[in-house]
Amino acid sequence: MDITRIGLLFSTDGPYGAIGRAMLNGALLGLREANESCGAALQPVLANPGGDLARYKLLCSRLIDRGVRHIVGCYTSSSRKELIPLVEKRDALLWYPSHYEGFESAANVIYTGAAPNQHIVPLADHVLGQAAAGHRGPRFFCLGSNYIWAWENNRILREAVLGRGGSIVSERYVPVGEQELGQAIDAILEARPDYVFCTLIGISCWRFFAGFRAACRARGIDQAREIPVLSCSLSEPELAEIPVEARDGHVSSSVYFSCVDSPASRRFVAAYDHDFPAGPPASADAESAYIAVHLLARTLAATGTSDVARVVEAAPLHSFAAPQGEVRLDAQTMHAWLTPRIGRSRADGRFDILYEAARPVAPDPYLVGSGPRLSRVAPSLRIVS
Amino acid sequence: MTGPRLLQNFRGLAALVAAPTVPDGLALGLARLGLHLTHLPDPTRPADVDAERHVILLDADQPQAPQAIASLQAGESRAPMVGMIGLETPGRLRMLFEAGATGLLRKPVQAGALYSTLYLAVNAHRQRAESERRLADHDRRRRGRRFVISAVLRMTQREAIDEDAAYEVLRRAAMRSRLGIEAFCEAWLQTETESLSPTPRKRDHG
Repeated sequence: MDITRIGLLFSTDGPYGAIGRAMLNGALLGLREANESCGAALQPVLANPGGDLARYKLLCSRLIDRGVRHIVGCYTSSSRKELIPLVEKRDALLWYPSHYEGFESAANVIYTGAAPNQHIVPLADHVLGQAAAGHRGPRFFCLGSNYIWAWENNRILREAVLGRGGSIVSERYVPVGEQELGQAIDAILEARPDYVFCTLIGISCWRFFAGFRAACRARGIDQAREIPVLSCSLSEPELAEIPVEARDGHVSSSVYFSCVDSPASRRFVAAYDHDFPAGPPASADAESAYIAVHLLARTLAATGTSDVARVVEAAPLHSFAAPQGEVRLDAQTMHAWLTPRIGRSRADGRFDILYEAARPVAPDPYLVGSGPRLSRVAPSLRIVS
Repeated sequence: MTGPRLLQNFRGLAALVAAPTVPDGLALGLARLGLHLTHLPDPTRPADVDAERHVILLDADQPQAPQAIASLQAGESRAPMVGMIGLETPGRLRMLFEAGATGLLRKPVQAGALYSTLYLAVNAHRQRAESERRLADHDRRRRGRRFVISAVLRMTQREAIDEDAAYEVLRRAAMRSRLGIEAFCEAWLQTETESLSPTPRKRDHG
């Protein structure tokens, strides 16, 4: 049996190492299952950029040098953007298993994570739908890591909020990896918004949740009830990094939570916990990498080749009964049909599901069917260094 | 100056692809962005172009590109235009520039480049159209200022009031008539029979 090498390019340490480890675990579990059940001979080749953007291209290039044509990897959009010219030039295929901000359909990328209509749009609908019963439009404070994920999600939220009578009281960004968030927390408490929309990633996110809860407690504010935090990326591995007293009551939009009660989800969580007892816990990012590997394995088995063009053509023909539900790729955008959910975090590091779409939702990475035609008037922002 | 709101979602627009063949990747890219594709292979055939509904993607390398431009711009309405170009020579670029193209797609056309190109091309075209409309409006008003000056002078003499008061009388009358002051003054100078003064005409007690 011919062995097919699959590159697994995840930052398992660095500022978002916990997420990277969960994604790697999901991919490794997918490979083990594919090898056992489909009779595939997929061999993982691991590479760890350590969260250093400059190392992604170098390590990906080395993988391709070693004969790897299919790479499952990346978490941040900036790392994915680094690799796109390389995989296009060298005819490799990146299977990108993370939620992202959309507005991309690169020829040599398959997207198995959520597009914006599958995470931020449902979150905005959920929150604004609840707020509609109130007397005034809700006020949001946006705080994010200073890169495209935060910029674009904030734009989408702003358009949804302003279109429905709400307001954005502030939009703040800190560098990726920033751990000093006291000023931002003070600003939030001064503004007293109805919601904080958090697009911080990795250690900044964990530090924020801990610091914000502590600051609210010190002022006698029931943070989860009075100023709930909304996120499109908060997952079980991140909750594990947050002190237990600050874990509960946060609202997250995701296509998968490990509490999803289905046979496929229970099997996935059990197998994941068995293979990786040291964690991080199973999550949407782990599941997305798991889905990517399964879809790749099925396509490779069906086509009998790792030729990129053949795989891209054939991949949308396969579906997978994933832990979140049925998943398949849309041939037009090479993004996945996924099932949006809204969850609320618990102190034990898991989520309660508040909302679940009835069926998988078609990806709409350019928000052609889910966004306004005209942009809202740009906010008058004060630049604060 | 506040420009028109930016178009960021091209759902429902029609892309008029004026090219011998539709390039690989273009059809897929347009469909992803929610645009309908209309292929115009014959550059001499007149096209019904609507600036609000259409965006033109013109193959600038084809020998009949000038005829295609003439056909596409024969009507009053000029739609946004993107040039698809492989021959990046001054002559071809000048042709596109003079045709009002506001975007370029280098051949071979990459579907991934389409959103950015359309965003700039469509919005630059809208902004230019808005600027042209404002400029035409300013021009029209500038040409009409001589009627305002004449009318103010005539009013000061006729009503024995100062220039500011005369202007105010004319402005109020223009507003009542729902006309710009230039157009109102032009019309009033032609008739100038009725009094516009809100106050009784000063009597000569001499």
